Amino acid sequence: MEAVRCSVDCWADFGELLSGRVVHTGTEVLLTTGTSDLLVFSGQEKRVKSILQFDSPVTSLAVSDKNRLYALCQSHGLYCTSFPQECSSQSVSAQKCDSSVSTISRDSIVIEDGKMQAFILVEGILVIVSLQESFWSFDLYKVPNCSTGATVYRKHASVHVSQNTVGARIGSAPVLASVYPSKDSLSKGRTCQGHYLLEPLLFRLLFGVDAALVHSPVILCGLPDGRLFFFPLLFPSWGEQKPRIRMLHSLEQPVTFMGTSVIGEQGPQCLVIVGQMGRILLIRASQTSSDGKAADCGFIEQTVRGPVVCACVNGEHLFYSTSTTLLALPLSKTATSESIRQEKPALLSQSAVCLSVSRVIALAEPSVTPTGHVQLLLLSHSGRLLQVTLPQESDKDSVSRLTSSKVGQTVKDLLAGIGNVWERATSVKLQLQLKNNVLKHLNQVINICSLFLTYQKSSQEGKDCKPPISCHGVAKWSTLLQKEALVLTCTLENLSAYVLDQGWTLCIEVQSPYSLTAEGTSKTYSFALKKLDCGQKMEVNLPLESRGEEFVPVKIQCFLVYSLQSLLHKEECRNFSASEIPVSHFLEDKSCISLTLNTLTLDWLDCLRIGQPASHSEIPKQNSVWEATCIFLSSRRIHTEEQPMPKPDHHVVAIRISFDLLKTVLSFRDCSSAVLCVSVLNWLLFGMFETGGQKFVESAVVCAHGPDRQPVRLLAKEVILSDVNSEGPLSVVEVQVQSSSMAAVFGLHHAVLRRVQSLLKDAPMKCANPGQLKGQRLCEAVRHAESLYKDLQDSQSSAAFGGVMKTRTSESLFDLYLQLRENPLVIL
Amino acid sequence: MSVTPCLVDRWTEENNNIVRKWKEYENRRQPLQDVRKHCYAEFLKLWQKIQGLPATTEQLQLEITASYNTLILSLSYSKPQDTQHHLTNSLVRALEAVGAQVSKTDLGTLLQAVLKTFGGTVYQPCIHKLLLIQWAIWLSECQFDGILHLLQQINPKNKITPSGDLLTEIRNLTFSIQEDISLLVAMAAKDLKDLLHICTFVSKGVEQMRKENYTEALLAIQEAATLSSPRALLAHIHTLTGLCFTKLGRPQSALQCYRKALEVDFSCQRALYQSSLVYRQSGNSQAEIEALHLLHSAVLLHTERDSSSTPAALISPDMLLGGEQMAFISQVPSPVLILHTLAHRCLLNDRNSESAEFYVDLLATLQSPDSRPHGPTIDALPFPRIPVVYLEAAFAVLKAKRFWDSIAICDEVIAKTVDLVPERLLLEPHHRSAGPTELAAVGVESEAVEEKLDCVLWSGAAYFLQGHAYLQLKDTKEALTIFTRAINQLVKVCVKQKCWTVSNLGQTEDSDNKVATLEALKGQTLAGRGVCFIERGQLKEALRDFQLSLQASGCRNTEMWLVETLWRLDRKKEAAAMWHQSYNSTNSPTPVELPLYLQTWQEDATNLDHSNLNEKMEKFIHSCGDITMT
Repeated sequence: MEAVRCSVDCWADFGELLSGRVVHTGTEVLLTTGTSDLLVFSGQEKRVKSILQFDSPVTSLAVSDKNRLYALCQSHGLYCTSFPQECSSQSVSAQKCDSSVSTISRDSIVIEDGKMQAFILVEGILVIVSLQESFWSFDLYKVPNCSTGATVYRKHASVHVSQNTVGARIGSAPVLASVYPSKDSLSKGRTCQGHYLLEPLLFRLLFGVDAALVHSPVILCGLPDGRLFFFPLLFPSWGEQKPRIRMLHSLEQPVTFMGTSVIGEQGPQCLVIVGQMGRILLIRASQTSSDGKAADCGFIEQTVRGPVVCACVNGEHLFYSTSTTLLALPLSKTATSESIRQEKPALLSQSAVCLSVSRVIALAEPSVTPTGHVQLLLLSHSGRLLQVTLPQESDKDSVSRLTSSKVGQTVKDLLAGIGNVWERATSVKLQLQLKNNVLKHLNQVINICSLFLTYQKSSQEGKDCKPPISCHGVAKWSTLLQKEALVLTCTLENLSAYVLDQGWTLCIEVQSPYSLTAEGTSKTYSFALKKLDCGQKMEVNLPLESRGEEFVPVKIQCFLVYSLQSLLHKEECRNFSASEIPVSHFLEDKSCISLTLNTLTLDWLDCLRIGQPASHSEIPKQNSVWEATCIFLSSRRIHTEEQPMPKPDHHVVAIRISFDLLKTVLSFRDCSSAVLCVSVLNWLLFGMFETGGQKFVESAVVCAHGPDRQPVRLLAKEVILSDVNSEGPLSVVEVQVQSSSMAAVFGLHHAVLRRVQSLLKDAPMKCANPGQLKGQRLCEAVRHAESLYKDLQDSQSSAAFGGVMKTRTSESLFDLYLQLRENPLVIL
Repeated sequence: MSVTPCLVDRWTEENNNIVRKWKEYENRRQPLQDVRKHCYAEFLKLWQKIQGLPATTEQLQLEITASYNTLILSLSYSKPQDTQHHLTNSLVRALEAVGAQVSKTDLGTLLQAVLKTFGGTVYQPCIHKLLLIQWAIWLSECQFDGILHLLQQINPKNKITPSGDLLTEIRNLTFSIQEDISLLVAMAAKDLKDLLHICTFVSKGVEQMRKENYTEALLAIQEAATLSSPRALLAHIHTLTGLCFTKLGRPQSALQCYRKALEVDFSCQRALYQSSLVYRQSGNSQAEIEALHLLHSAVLLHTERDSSSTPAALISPDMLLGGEQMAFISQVPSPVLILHTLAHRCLLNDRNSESAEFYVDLLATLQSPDSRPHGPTIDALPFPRIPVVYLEAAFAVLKAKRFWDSIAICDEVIAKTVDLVPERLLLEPHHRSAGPTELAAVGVESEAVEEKLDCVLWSGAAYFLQGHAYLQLKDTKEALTIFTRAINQLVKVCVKQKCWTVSNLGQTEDSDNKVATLEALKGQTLAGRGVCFIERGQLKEALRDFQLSLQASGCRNTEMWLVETLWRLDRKKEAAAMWHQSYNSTNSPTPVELPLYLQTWQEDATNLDHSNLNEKMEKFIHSCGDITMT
């Protein structure tokens, strides 16, 4: 396929279009862009002069010679309005930049019928094709004479053709054209939009002697099912012997274009019909003189590579646009060569010339400049209104002869061609690269997913193995701007063989189930990963405290999330979201791959601030409410009965764990009780027993501040209980929690218990013989617990009935609780 | 509540103002479509305003009057369904005003409820006004049952038992119509009722006519004629009466009616057309031609006047009768067809110069861009093929001795057809055994063949007419060439089987005719050439042509020419035998119907003076007889 360089002049840009239509009427260009607006574009000023707004998208339009504009709107009918007038000469300069917008009201509907598909205006008669339930109807309306004020469009006749549902394609409209017999052989074959001249002999052969005798135009209609019908327009009927409308041919695919072509020097000799899938039908007459046979017409069917979006004919050339490029097909070669006269359709794409204009969706009738250049006006898919000037036939001839003057031009053309190809190659390469990247990413993601799957499987089977990617968290206190805050530091560790690439996000969900609100609060923090190589770690910090709430213990869940959107290139992503293509649906924000990592729990023990009992000098003293009130009152010089601030009484709870248990579980062999106590505290506070030389806690007493900034004392000591075991005294480690703050006491108690619980759960128990336990002591303890439990129930029920005041209820409950805690059971 | 009376006054004033504006416009009779539309829009606006308030009895009179006015104008603007919808709304609101509940869905029950609720109250006249609109809607849709039911309910039951006949019901209709002077209406209810009365009768009559029940139709229409009605409608009524009479076989009464119709309204074209048909039936060609001529001028006048629309009355009978009924009533063939019929009749009645004029007019009409008939028109009557019209025109012009015109017209036909004629056209009977799958293809094929045969006939006939024109111009040389060309055209057709009639070409009748026409044309052309030869003194050639002509198609005139030729060749005995044979044989008329341009060719200038020849022959036979006797 050879290519021709032609000069392209961009007149306007309307943005991306899906459909459109261009009609050239002398100085103005009428444009529809698939919306309900009709643009009147001035070819000279290169601007939109006025916009006509209709009720629904305009599907076809025509301009009558009396400057009336007819527009067929989807599902409404045919509108007739006066053509927007040129603004008067003196105001041209003033109105240069703004275009008038006028709305066409329903009053301008002249024929109301939602089923109309197409129309054509011929000789003051409107021919309207509409699709009724089961047939195509061709209705003829006489256009009233405007000068006398009559406005009624009277239906004069109608013809019906049954609908052929087999080959019909929904969405394409019928194509109408009117064909006149040409009077002399020098006519150009085309008068204006949709009106064509045809050489008399062919006209007579196709449409009959009668139409030729009265010089009646013939209406030609290509239906979406590919059938071509015709009927003479100006004609008295001749009864029922002959059908009024007759079929000419069936193209078996929707008709895109119908027109006549001038071949040779004898006028418009060829009827050209182009189908949507690229079938081209050429109808020519063969002369009588050649071999004594009668004149007959030959139907030549050929095929070009489709789809043909739009087409037009000028002289010998058929210009058609596939969805990608605009091509010019010289009809003279194809229609005259005898070799193609066989019935089988030949593929003609070889002889088509590429005009290097891409994605054209509408073509106006071509025009010829005084210098002989053919100009095409076209609308591209990207919304550009382009004027393409084709090189003259003679230019091309001289190029082929390669005169010296043209060599330079040829070289230029070739270079430009190379440039074009290079440009296209680059873009294709880029596309490929993008696709490869996406695949690579996807592969990695799938690999990581499968890693997790195998890990899950093996851990289910009970095998002990390390997770490929894990996340650990540690709570730390940090001081920022003289304000202390608890910060959770999470460490993501990549132990797998794969790199965590861009696109992955670490999500940390912090849940505090015991918050004041009923359901607990939950917060999710996400951290986008840049790149995490194998064996690398990444630390993230996130604040834990929120509005001073009692938030501990909190549950922390970690996820790795891969959003599918990040597979796409950013630009593509934007394109998708801009357009409403359904592809973007499955790539919405929600579509992602999510992998659950570890779950951590952060309790009071984790949040203790150890060893800063005397930091009051650094931190501004935080006054208690009591003190604050006193200060306020004194500042107002109100004398109150100075009551000393009630001394906070220390609450104490204790947990007793048997020595043996600790020894076996924590694998202490031989060590003194004092060392063991310190070790227990270390274990509780830092989760480890042997501190590897460096000891975090050196004594058996730890002073700390809780998250509520109240001082807390943790204390571990050895106690020997004599009355528990029957075999002798039992040595236990008693962990005491002392604080004035109730919350701290209970929180820590809970935390310690939780640790012990997990310890018991984890460790295989070599349980002490229950027989060894002293039954009496056990019974006593149980009875005591039961009585306390009963008291608890009583107070609960009384509170439920509302008999006792609230404060008292809570006080009694609190007492009970303390009693329950103070005499702990021993954990063996 | 104090607001309402004030509003009622204001709206009453508004209503009256619009009506006054309309009346003023109506009296001035200016063709201003806009005023009508404007009034309609204003009424609609007022009506919507009134409907903004809940329906009460205080404003019921006003509301109903406003809806009546709106609906009357809407009859000419909206679709019947819309008007019906508005009307139902109004009725429901009227019921709401007096507190009655009724469902909107069923029209019948709604009407019944309305009549029951308002019967005998002050509001009855108003409600009756609205019901007139319902009548009009149903009439335009030809729902006679609905009308009958409605009127039965309106008529007081005690008077007579409901007969079930719509027309009697209308005759006995008692409508309470009292106009409220304070509230103006665009059209008085009484006028509307009278118009509806007549139109229902006419519509009913037309329906009967469509069922070919002419006696019944006549009764209904004749009664309509006794009522006073607008001029155009009266003319239509008279025409319809005439039509019934024609169908009932009373042409004289029919003609009377048509004349009455024309007296009432001259532009009643249907009457003219129908009378021309009656005249044709009764063989009064002069009158027929006269009527056709008048009709043609009337149609032409009408189309000219049509564009300048006259101001229509508020409610025209056309509107009430509905499109279909009106189309039946005022059905007239297209002007072209009338002109052709006129020209054709003139030609048949030997009014040659007139006929020629009409034909030339017809050709001009077919050619001119303005007055051309458009499209496959709705005419029931067929128009002949265009080349046939051309040939008829050429023939008519030839008979009017305008030889050169005739030659020109024929040239036109020849130019269009001659290159479509194949070198050899073989007509062969196609096989009946063709399967159903092939039928379509065969049909297309035979159609193409038939078209080709037509082309042969047309071009042959055109040459033939040209030849005669030259012959009459005494240009025998040219005539000879032309006749030869004609013969060359005609012999291209080759009929394979002689028993053509048995099976052929689908439509056997038609093709038979064509083949017979071809033969006749061949014969006449050969005879024409024979005459040329005789004129030029080439007797042998003439003899051959005459003999061939007789083989193709027998014709007494040709036989006489043959006798004459033989005589001139001094083959007297043969001539006498020939003469004797033809003289005694009864001239069997050709069974086929020849086209006009061949039919009347026998009595033409080329005819021999028979008496002279006969005398010669008788004398000769006598002498011969004497010889043989002796």
